[in-house]
Amino acid sequence: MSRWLFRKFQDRHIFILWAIFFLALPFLVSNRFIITEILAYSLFGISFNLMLGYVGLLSFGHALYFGSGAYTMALLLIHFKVNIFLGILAGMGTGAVFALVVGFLSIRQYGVYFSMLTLGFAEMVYFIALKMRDITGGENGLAIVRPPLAIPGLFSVSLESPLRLYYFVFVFLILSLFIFRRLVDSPFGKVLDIIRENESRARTLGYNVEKFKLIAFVVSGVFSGLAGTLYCLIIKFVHCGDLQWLKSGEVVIMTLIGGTGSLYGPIVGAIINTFLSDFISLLWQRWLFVLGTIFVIFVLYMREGVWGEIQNLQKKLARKS
Amino acid sequence: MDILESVPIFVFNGIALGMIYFLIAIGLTIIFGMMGVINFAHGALYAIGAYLAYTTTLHTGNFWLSLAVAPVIMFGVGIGEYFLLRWLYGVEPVYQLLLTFGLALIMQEVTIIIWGSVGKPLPIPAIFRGFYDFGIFTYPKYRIFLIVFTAAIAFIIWFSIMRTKLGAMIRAGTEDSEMVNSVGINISRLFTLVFGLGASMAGLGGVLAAPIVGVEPFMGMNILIISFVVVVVGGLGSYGGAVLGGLLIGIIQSLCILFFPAAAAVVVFAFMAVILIVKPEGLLGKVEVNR
Repeated sequence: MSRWLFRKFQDRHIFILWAIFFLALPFLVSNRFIITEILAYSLFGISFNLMLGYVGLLSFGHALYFGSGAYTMALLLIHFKVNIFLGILAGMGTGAVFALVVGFLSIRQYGVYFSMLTLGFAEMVYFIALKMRDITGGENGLAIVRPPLAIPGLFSVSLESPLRLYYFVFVFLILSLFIFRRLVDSPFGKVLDIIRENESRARTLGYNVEKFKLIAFVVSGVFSGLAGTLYCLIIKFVHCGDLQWLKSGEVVIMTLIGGTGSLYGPIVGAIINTFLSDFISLLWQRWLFVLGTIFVIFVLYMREGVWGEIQNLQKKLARKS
Repeated sequence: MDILESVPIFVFNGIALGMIYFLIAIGLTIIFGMMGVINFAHGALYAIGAYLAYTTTLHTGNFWLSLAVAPVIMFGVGIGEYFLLRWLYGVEPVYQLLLTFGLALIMQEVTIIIWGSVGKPLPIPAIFRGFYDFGIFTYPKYRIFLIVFTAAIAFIIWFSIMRTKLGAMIRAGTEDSEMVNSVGINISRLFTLVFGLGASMAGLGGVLAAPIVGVEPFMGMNILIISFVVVVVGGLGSYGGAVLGGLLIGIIQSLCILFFPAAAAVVVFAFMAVILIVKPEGLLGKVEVNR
């Protein structure tokens, strides 16, 4: 029995377990606002980790795709009162466009160069947004009214109930996770593996490395944009801070704490990050100090992250039984 | 006043700004050249330098003391950071970057814990208050001092790198650190020294900038990002690139404030994008090696 339990524990089962976990979560935790936030951050982390964990490039400007997605949603809602699905699609589109432009300019660069450039371009957009105060609201941001979940002529359901909003976001997370699973297991994902492990070999085998990296970057931008639109719907607010380096830093931190080695690590990171920031910020305003310290400890001692350690433990148990 | 008459003033402002950028970029670029690490905490070191100037001036009334105090303390901080980095020897380089980012965040939070989150002004030292009259335009004395002083520092750095034995080791280290090690030079001690010196230059930049821009906790991250632009434009790993990149970015930024203020924050990034397309390795960079 235990042998079966540990050895035949495949990715598919983990996926299902996570889905069950998130289905049940609203009944385990009373603060539904926070757990809905966790869903959006998980999606952001998963998209970010496609670059860090699967392509091996550390983007330091992912706030750009997240924040621009959130802003697209907010601006479309405020000025045009668009349908919720249209807002989400537009946010994903914005993420894609920004990722395409930034990716085009920086994807050829290696290692630290790539990190510096993605950070630089993201900050550029942040400064522009800060200057265009009339449109973006600057640091004060924009408040939105959450639109109903509706398809014109068919149905319209209010999302003001926390539980309904939670499951609405949940559907997007699970769908995205499913797409990401298919993606990393597809031939495309395998090519990304080769590129990460040995780029010159991938090149010699005839793969257009830049093209693969750019596609991965755009996919990452699209889903970061999606996470941004969902986040905007959850907190009903967007401000320039959503585009700033600290937001990019936050996704880097939670992804690493969770673990970069698999799709599910960032989810663990999002859970830890959200609960921790929520809990510590009640006691002490400088919670970033605590988060930074935990992050440094993880970089020094636990580079595989919490999820990586759990997987190692599971493998160890499988060998013993 | 006619807008063209103020051009020389803004060019000088740009040079002053550019020299501060140079002090940050030189540490970034040489540390990268030797260790392949971009130090994300370099901006935080600059910010702490500025805060040390603030505290020294506040308690002793003597700004000049901080020109000595800050670089020494930052030298220590830099060495401390290097020892942490050495922990990650042989690990994938991305983790070194992540470590420096974590340290940057911690340092920024520590400055807020110690000095508060509200920015503070720092008066210009008494003997450099006022203006020099150059006939066609007048210019603040302190900025003239800043330009002359940093030019002297830049010369000393250039001389040490190009004309001394230590400099030869450092240059060799940026070419091939393993080879330097194998000919009997203690590369680890050399790295420590370079990291410490780079940190103290960043601290010095903070001290010099403080009377002009004041101090605030997020100044570090802001200047770090501009310094990235500087080293990308100038060419990562090159001394000349740090000088040229610093001055170019400083002057462009400053002139943009004069002619087209709305775009001042953006123009340097646009400039970087152009450089990346035209000359990806930077103006004075060598051909990019696959790291």
